Amino acid sequence: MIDSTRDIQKLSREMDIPLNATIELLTECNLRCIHCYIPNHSEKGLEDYQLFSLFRELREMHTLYLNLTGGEIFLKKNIMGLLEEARNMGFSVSLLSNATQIDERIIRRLAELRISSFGTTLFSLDSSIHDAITRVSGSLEKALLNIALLKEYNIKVEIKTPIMRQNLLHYGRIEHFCDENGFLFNPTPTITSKNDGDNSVKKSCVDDEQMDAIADMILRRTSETAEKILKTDKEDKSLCPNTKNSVFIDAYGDVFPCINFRYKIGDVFSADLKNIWLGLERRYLLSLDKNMLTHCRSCNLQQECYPCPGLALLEDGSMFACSSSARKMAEAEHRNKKKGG
Amino acid sequence: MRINGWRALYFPNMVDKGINGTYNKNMVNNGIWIYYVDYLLGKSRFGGVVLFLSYTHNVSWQTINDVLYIVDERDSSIYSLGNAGKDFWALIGELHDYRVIMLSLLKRYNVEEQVLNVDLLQLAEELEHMEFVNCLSEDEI
Repeated sequence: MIDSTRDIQKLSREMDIPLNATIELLTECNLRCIHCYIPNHSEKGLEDYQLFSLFRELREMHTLYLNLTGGEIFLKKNIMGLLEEARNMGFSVSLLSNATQIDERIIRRLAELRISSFGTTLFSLDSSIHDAITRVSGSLEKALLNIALLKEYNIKVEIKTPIMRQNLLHYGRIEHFCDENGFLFNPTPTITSKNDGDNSVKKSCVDDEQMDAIADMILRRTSETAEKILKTDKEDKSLCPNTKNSVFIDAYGDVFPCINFRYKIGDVFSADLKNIWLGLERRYLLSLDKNMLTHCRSCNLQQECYPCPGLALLEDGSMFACSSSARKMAEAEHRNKKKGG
Repeated sequence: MRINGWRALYFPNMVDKGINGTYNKNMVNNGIWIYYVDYLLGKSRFGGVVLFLSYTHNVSWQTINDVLYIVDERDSSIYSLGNAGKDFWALIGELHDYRVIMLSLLKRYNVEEQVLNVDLLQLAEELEHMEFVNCLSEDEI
């Protein structure tokens, strides 16, 4: 077996191939999570024929990993038809869903389709906390029921846990729950501003002291796969290595390098995806390198920090700025290293 | 017959059937695809043919630079037939008859025997005109 993740990611970057594609199918959602980065929850997304056409284009451009996200993807009409088409085309399909809009019939079909992974979010195993964050009563109960079914049908489950002030004391139980059930646990203290720049959601972020308390756990839980990708990214000199092999298409048909990097490189109504991929906007991004981050040169956090130009653009005004989110995590790791000697 | 997903087999030294150096795909009966990949292991030394048999949804796949990558969705392991997965090679190294190899691999991936028998006949017809050279073991490569 090859050193799969790293090698294929590296190869695709060298060859200018969008190996990883993420499509936001819609922004509609039945939950109203307090920290959500989506400003409105009413967009129904691209039509099926447009999505099928995108699938075909991506296939021709050699995309292998297709991530489908929302909003809540199971509110999308004909979601199962879309998934079947994607799998028949040979994509490795990962889903991000809140797990409240599925049932055993759907889960059985997902198992038959060999979906690569089902990512969902748990804020707490205590419904008073989880449901307060989602602002929908009963959402935890439904999600847990379906997560159990996903396990029963041998579908790989990834639990994402944004750690905020509201659920700071609850991640430990989720971690244990994941280990007990063989789920991948993916905690993060990073809460991003809304896509429209509204940073009111940032008030849920943990403070420095709280960050120090969870930094070690976050690092410990960084999966082997994620670690390999981060290592490859660190070695890469370009400003955003993801730009070389990833693409994100939002529910409005706008195209970006990634879900966090809101620098629009085109839209699917004005140009073919291939032309957008090869187009000037993306070429411009590819011409940028990490040396342009002048503030990083004298920074003592270089070893710990994974600067993200996308978050910097969204939250700090410029893709060349110091990403406050990346810095916060790096500072915590740095302090913890010092404490540990 | 409904065809879902993909399986792969690799037979070295089979490429020189007028396809030299290029990547072609031909869809044959019932979704059996044949990929001719000329430089799985370096352009000069080996050619090869990869046969996809699409019976189940267990795998995802993509070709990059004419090399085939397969993700086994049961455990997310990824195989490149450019520097082929050890278990593929182990099977291919041990077994020299393509039908036996095919049966072993398909059984390994829980393809129903009934489906397997039917399609093996179809496949045999498609492959009749091809010459099969003994497969190479991992050591030989």
